Amino acid sequence: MDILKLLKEYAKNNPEHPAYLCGETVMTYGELDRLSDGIADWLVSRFGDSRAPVVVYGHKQPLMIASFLGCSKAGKAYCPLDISMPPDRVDAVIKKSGASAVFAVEKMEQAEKRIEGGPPVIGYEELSRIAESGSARSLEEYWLTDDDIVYIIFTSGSTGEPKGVQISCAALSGFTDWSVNLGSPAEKKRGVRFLNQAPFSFDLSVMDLYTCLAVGGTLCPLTKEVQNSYGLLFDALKSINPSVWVSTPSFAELCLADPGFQGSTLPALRTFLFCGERLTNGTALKLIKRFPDAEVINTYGPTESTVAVTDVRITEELCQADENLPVGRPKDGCTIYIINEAGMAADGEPGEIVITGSTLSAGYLGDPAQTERAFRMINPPGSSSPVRAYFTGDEGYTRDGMLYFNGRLDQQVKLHGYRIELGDIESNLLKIPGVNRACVLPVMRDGRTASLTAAVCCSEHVDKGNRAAAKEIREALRTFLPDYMIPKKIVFLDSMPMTQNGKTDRKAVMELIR
Amino acid sequence: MKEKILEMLAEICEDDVVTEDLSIDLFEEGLLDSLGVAQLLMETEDRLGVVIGLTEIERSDIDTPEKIVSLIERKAVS
Repeated sequence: MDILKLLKEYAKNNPEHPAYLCGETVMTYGELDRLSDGIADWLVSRFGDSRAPVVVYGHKQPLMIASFLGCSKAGKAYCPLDISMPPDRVDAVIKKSGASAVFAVEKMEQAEKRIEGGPPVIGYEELSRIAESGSARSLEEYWLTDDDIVYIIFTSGSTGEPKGVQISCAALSGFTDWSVNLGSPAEKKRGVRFLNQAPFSFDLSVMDLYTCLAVGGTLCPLTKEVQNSYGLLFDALKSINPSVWVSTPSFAELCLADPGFQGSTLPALRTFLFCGERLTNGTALKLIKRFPDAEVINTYGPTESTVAVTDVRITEELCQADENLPVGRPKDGCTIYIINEAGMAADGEPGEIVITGSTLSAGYLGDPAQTERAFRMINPPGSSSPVRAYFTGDEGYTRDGMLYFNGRLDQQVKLHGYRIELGDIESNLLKIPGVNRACVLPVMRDGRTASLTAAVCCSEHVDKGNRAAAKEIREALRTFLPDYMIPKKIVFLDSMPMTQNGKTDRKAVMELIR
Repeated sequence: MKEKILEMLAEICEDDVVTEDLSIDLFEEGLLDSLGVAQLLMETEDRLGVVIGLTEIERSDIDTPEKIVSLIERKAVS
């Protein structure tokens, strides 16, 4: 695995260079290599060459990264879970992943309960001891190679069950070979600081984490606590002074609300990398004006094709020329097709965005039906044999090879970069006693989902229209879903509008709640 | 001024309750989050010409419609 080779090289040549920096906490390349060796040693001693993945639960601690790399060195996939995920959903993922062990870097609620019959839960202190006490034996024979799964990221599933996207070593390498040159050549990124905003359970973090490690840079995460306090956030940004910024457009918009967010206060900043949701012209223009020395790069890609597969530098001219900013041209080794009812769409014609190439996921863990539905063989024009393709469910079009994103063909939304299946929220709403029917709809602003509204039909005893009742439903939903999936508004309906074939009439509901 | 502020707040919170109950806790009720605050400050600048930096305020300064009105009014005259 390329990234492990590079890590050994950086740890040998530049052991004191920080790999991770968060507030006062520093982890050098030497430490990262040693701690991940320790974890790998333990995993190999305990589970041999079993391929069962390891769940790594926590937030932004250095031990998270050491655990990820430790798993790779021991030949095991890891499955990152963030603290934003409630216990019930954590349980569902642990079960579905078939994990051999759970690393609870952050204290896990109900951990004792999990031990019964489930995989062992290794807490922070024990994990630290394991990482520190590993032997120095070489484990290179256990390292992951090409087709082995390196990580499994769980995303929202339309039926209410999260689905695990499996990414192989080869796909990750294919991604980093490209990402290190985004905005500027890799040589210019050697050893620099990368901002990490997204939690590690969200694949946008792969863009900062692995691009950073590949160039021997320093990953500088912003914790949830810091992101929630403006005072702390701007102090942290100034002290980090990153060269490469990786975030959702929403997060940059939040920062733009402060006039002090500009080139003179973050003088090292050279590259903004955006992914995860629509980048608006307004946001891009403000960034270009406030950061004249930085390039704004827009990218596009689903988790199923390893973070991102297209990129484009956004200029002032582009912002003025196009209402809808392009998401870019495909990277080397990736071809994108636009397919509609008539087959391959012509230039400028809309259709489903279909991705082929070396960075496609191996499929959904333990879910052959979903995998077959989304990953299919196609016969592209000019190709003699069929190729494997991922049907994104995104609608878009190309113009002179440049890809544009229009929106979704189904009930999936992106809210502040988080990928959410509305059906996932609806299924979980129905678990709440008293809720009989549910329909969740996006509230749009500037062509993007700004918030979610849930329309519900409840049993007689629920005091409809009451704020307290709405609040209770939102609270109950929190036991099943992470915060970012909780609808902002709950509207009570006497009956749910239906279409002729007995499905919820989403358009009619939209009219009712407006 | 007060009316304009409340109208703007109702748009951001997507709920008219903020114009009716001026002491409602906006964060507690899920009406406002960090992105909502950022939007509030940008709209305050665009619509009312009043500039308030994110770093100048703490959550406790803006957790009710009442406090937001008085903050913006205060900033407008200073």
